[in-house]
Amino acid sequence: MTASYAEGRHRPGRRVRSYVLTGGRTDASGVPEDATVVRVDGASARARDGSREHQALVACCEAPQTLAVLQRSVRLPLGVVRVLVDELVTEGVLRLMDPGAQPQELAELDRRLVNARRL
Amino acid sequence: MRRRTSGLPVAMTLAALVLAGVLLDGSPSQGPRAPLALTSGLLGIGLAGAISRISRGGREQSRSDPEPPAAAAPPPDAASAPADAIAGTMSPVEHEPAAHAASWEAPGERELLMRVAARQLPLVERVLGVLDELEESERDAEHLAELFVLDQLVTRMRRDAEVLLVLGGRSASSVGGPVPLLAVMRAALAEVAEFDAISLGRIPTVAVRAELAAPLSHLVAEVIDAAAPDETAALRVDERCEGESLAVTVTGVRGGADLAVAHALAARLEVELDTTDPSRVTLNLPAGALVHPAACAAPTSPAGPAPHVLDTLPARQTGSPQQTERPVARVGGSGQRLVARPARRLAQERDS
Repeated sequence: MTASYAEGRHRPGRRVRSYVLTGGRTDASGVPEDATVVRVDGASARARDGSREHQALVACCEAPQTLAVLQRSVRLPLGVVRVLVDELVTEGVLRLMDPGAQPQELAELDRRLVNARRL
Repeated sequence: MRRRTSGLPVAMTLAALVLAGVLLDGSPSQGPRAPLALTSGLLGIGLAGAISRISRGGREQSRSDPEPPAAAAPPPDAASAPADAIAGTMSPVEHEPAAHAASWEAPGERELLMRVAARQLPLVERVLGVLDELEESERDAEHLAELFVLDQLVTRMRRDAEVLLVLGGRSASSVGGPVPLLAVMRAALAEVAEFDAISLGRIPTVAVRAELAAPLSHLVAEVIDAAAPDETAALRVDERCEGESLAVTVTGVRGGADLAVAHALAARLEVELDTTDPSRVTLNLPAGALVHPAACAAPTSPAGPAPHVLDTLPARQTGSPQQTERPVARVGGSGQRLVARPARRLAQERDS
């Protein structure tokens, strides 16, 4: 790892740093790492008052989404996504789904796994 | 042996010249300096003089074109003489030798400082790149908070290195497309000590030229940091289109703010820094700084300063009954970590 750093493998740092997007916050204890969230009805209009990242997250959550999927969508660190989602949940724009409920892609993966085991 | 004997007179001549130069140093009014004072003066002159030359705009000075004696120079004026303004930021002990920099500066000092700054910058960039990767995968909130603290310190180091290069006359890279003003302001916020305490108004949907983006963010950060270093929460930053130009105003400026570096940077960027009102600083960007100035000239709404609102930035943590206390990883001007500051992201101030 040290050698790779010395060889300059890493890209230059971004101009807009992650901590600016959360105002420095890192605590998102209200949103578990494996949480699934979904947009509340009528939330789009309220989300317009938020930042670009808030709006992007809300737009992604028309259907239930995991944080991992949201992270890939908005291309932000998972910890940042958790904070932003936590804020949206606090504002009532997004809501946490029942831990037992599975988002669509997980349900599809389960179905494919079951089919594969049948082979 | 023969070489030694022939080289000895040369060495003695050089030594005599150096000694003569030492003894003849100093203005007539001051007379020769003591050896110790001379040594410290030389050190002081080297640094102060080089900074002075850098801030002056990178004009090359040859040995045959010495500067006029400092005694005849006009008094420092931060607005009109960035070089003296920079020197004025130093302590009196350091500033005194700077006044005599002209007679001592070697012509390569600026280049040497520039070279060191240019050498430092990629290292800082690499650290930020590493931090990006570490933050990407960090799942623990406490560890992420520590990374944020480190990140902000290094980001401010990058700002300092780049400001030095800009003051030295290096042009920023023009690679890349137009940069939205929102990104510029966010980058500026990332570079100030108390980034989460700044209240920002609406951001017009205008973009600045690529080569101006980073220096402009540094300039805004310089103004913010200098405006009220101890009471940043009292500051507010607004961006407003005025005709085809753009004005960025920082209000809540403390009296006696030291804006010397900001003035020098603004002069370099050809940005007008308006400080006529002591409680505010306005950066007036000419239309040439914007990619599509016409977008800024669109008719404004009576309800707001700009018709197109792209986004707002993290707002000042104003009191609200609905707010909940949440820990915030941040680092103050002295480097200490502060926590437990309320954060509110959606209900931001929009009364600009």
